[in-house]
Amino acid sequence: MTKREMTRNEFVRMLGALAAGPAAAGLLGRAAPSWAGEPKAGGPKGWPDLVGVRDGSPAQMFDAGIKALGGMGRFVRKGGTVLVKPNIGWAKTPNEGACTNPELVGRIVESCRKAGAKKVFVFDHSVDLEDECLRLSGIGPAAKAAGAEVRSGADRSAYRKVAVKGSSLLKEVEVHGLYLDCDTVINVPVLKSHGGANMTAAMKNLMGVVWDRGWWHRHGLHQSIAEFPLVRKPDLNVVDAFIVMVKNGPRGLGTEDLLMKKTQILSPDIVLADSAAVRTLGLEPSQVAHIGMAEKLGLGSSDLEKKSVKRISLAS
Amino acid sequence: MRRELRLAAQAAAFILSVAVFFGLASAPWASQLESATRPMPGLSGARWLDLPRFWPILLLLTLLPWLGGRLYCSWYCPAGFLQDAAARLAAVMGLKGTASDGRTALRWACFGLAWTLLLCGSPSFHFLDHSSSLGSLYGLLRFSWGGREVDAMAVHGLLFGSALLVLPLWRPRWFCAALCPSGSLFTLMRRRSLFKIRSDGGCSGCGACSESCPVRCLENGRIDESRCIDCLECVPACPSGSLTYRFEPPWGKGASEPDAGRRRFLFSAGSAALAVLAGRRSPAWPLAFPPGEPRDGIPPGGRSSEEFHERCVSCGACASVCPTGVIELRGPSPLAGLGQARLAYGSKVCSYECNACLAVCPSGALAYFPLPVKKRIKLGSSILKKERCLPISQDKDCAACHERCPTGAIAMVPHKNLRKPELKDDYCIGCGACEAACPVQSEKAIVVRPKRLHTFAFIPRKSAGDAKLSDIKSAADEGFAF
Repeated sequence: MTKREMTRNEFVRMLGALAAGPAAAGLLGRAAPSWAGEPKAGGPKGWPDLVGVRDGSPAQMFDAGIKALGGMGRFVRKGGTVLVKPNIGWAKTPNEGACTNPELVGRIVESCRKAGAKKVFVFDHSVDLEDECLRLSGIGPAAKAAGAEVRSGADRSAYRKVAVKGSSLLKEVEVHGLYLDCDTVINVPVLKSHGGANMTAAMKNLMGVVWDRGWWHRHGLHQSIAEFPLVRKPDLNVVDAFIVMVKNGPRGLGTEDLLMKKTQILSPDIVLADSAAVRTLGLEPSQVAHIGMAEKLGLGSSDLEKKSVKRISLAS
Repeated sequence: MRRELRLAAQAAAFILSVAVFFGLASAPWASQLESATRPMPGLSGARWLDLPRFWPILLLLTLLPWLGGRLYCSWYCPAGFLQDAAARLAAVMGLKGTASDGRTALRWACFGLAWTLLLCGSPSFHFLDHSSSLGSLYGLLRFSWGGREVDAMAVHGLLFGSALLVLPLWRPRWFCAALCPSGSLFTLMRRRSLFKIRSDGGCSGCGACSESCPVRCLENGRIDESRCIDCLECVPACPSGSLTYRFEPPWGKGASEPDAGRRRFLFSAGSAALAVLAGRRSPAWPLAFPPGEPRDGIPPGGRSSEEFHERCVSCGACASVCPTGVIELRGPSPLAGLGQARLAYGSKVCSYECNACLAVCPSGALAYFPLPVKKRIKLGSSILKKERCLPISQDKDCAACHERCPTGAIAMVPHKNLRKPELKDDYCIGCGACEAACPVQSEKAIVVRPKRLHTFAFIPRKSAGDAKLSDIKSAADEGFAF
């Protein structure tokens, strides 16, 4: 992961954005954002560790959430490359809740471009046929329209074997080059129940940058999911919980499996994002084994009480 | 003008065939039109006369030659267009093509072999058929970089394609003049056509007609009827106007004398064909298929193993358009059904969102069904081997099959402290997604058993494909859950 100092200019802009977020929400005639208490210890520069947004469209919620986190400039370097990794695993339409919302993906790409990213890539190692997934999910056209380059995840030559440091099970893994090489990785999962992992959100979504998923199933699904971020943690996780598949996931059978929750979770901490996601799904973190495993590996915290959480409601 | 019109017609037919085979034209009418204009596969399908879509090709292939000889070859055929393009390139390069001989034993042996095979119900004629071979070439080009295995179809496509594109540099339209079984049939029919190109004498020997002829079948106003494709390029090219295209019915004045030798040949060929047809016992000629449930599935739309294997002509159209490569051109046993299509389960899947093979099949071996109906065709049933399944035998979370199953035929039910798969056969369509996804090695824990007779599966719930946002129930909670 690329670490870098922030320029003074960017810092000032970010402070401005931080102040502008709530102000803009107020000016737009919405109810004042509801703050669930003052942020606790907080991340660098007083930014919250996690932002939850509710009751807006996916794009609106992202705008409000990224402002509260310090703006896209915090994550994207001018002239840098960005990988936006949505869930495009399924040949399903947006209202079937199986893939990430296309409008959200489009807005994130746009936001990266505005922050000065030279190149924004979008791809997934789809479960169904890739072309059908991109077309039916609407993510292919939306990402292209927003200025992203859509790459293939079905071509093995794009993957590289890397060693995983600090792991006990997943010693080596074949990872898509974009995940390893881009300056910034933005992980954009959709929140769903999962017949194997119980929940699929931020950590599980990273299975889509891996070539041989069968190995994970054979040798320990949860342990592999928990250890994979040791390769690299995404710089930002945006969990799309606008439509949540509460049962029969990850593919779902019909509208009955879905609940409209109009929620979005943003956090640089992948474990924290999953901890908030698992509660949104209606489960406890203890019911999804890979959350606890990842916390033990020091990949993040699952303790929402100890972390600073900002909650924004856009309800009018 | 006529020249531009012909070029436009040829180009349109070529673009149509490319669009269909490269998945650029998804409308059923496009693929049906393309497949309806493939003479040999189409005529083989017309043996059954049970589908309305075969009437157009029967009409086309009897009326057109009767009207104007080999108009199909000169104005439509994409393989002819490619050869013309290669010949034009040769002209630019300054190569002078010479004519192929149209009276060789090889040509008529090809003709006899291909049509006898077709009449006997053997699909192997496709190695000689231009449209099937072109399909193999397209399949090779479309999938060679997609990591698909190289099979017999790909090799044939490569050989045919390179011969088709390279040989015309020296031998313009060599395939049409020296090999094509469809073209040879039209050549036999064109003797009785209503419109003919005629030379009235007065030839100055300037050679303009030979220059203009794409087949090089003209010399000093004399037409070699065995090779002429009725393209009409020579008529306006003749400066002295001695070549005309005119209505000359076979019963009218000046009709050619019947050729006794040719009549004898046609009569004996026809009787031989009838004898073969009458003597046919087993539909799965040349060899019987192995008994019992088939090891390999037949593609959707095949209805039943018997019907499918009798109708499939191995033209490769379905395999060429299959986006996943699950359709292989290898019969159910090494000798029976040479090159016939089969579903090769294992790592490949019959895509739920696709009905391309049904739309493109020219012989009717695969009956066309619109996508919503095709989605319910039950190709087989999945079988779960509990002793190999990870959650059941090794206490490991998995659900790889469940997440791939497009119809909800695999539910995850509580098992100890995990979830295990449970099959609901009523909903299983035998697409092979679960088998492809199963991570268990050497012998998968879930496999498809293909059905000899296709039926329809239930749909577990109303399809959510056209779900509206307003159909989704809102969550009861108002605040954050965290």
